[in-house]
Amino acid sequence: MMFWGKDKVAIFGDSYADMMDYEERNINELAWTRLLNTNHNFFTYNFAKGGSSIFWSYKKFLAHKDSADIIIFVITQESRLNMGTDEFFAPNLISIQNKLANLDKDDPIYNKLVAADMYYKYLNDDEFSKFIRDCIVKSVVDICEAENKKLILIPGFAIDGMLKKYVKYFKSVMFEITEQEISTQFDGIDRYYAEKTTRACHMSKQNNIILANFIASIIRGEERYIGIHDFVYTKVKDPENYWEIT
Amino acid sequence: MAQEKKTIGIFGDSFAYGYDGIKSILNILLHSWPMVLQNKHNFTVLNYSLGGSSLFYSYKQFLDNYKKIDTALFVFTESNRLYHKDTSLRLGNLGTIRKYRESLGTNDTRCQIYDAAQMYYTYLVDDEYNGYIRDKLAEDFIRICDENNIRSILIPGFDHDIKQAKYFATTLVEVSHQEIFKQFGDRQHRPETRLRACHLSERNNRILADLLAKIINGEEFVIKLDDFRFVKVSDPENYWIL
Repeated sequence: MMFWGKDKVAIFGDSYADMMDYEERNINELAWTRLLNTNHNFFTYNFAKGGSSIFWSYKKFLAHKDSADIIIFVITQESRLNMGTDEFFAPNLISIQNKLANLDKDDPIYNKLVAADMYYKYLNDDEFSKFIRDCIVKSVVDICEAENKKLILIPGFAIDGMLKKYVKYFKSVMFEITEQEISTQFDGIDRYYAEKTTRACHMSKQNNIILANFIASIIRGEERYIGIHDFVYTKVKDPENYWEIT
Repeated sequence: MAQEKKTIGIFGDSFAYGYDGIKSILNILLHSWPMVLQNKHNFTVLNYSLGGSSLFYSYKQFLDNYKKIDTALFVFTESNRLYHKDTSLRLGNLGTIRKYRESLGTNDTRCQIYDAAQMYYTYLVDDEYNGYIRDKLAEDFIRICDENNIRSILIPGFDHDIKQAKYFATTLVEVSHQEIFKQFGDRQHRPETRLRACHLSERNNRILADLLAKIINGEEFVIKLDDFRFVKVSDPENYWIL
């Protein structure tokens, strides 16, 4: 198959770039990563996966970077534990507790999840986690420079430390946009609700479109910046269609 | 005019630790290679090593202290060792964790940390991940030394494949294992008395210090296992707790 005239874009990261509907593993057509292909005519390879660690994304980057000249790398939370497997992730304590609640103790991953739970509670160290994150981001930057690939780094949760030097186009992190949407919807109450497939990458349809348009312009060579105020925050009348409200 | 005395910074784990348990004058192991560098070769030695510590601990010690030194000797420990801010914890490996865990009372809050570390080593260790971190620490160590005109000597404690360890064709654990093999015919770990500093015989501590002194002074060569001496002693009970 040939794709004359299409820029090839490889996407790496966590749920902020994963275009799947997590329950069904169907493609969510609303995701900005999908819109780069359907609305902007880029040929996209998406290697992002919800809940993954930055080292997992880095390994995917090493394995698949040659498939594209444009790399989009979403930087996830630095604290996420590398589980050394593709089979499951343990991004935080809530996710681990949810998984453990549905697992038999004889399940081969049970003890790994318990170990991850204890790691987060008693061993996790922010300074060490940030050091690893910064090393990985620097590795990605260096490789892209050496191989003449255009790199767009998207901060998922933080722009601190060395990220201030490397993150170019973003003045806000993706998590802030999600928080602002939730705050607008639920009158300032900041709490987590599971999301329905009417939302993608933890954002509304409109904000996915805004992000896709912005990324497309960067890929085409514009030098622009995006921040939290470039997105829109609208309270919907039917939140139950977007969030699992119990 | 007298040449200015060089200041050597030493970073690492028990293979570089020049003290016996508690840092006091009485407990200084005079025949450890860091002490030989100081006493025989007349360097000013600042030893920031700690037995059982992780690579990241030593790296942080290096970051905090590199401006005080002319030469940095960094013993690279096992790459999978857990880092923890509390340096009183001994989380280097499963054996050490079990030993220290047993010595704690049931209400001691450190029990949970030891249990978590035990679970980590049992279920979560990923050699590829730890190898990546190790290589990044080695790169950073060399880069910072180069940028600050510090002579850098990376000493491999356990791993052969650290490309920045250009002065070593052996690891310190190999030297230690070879001594044990010569003595007992196996490579099984035995607890050591304070007559063995840095897990090496007095003679091999001296050999290592002499070779390192030459490299510190500008010679370029590679230290090999054959450079050390392996002699069976008639009184092993003075060196190992049998």
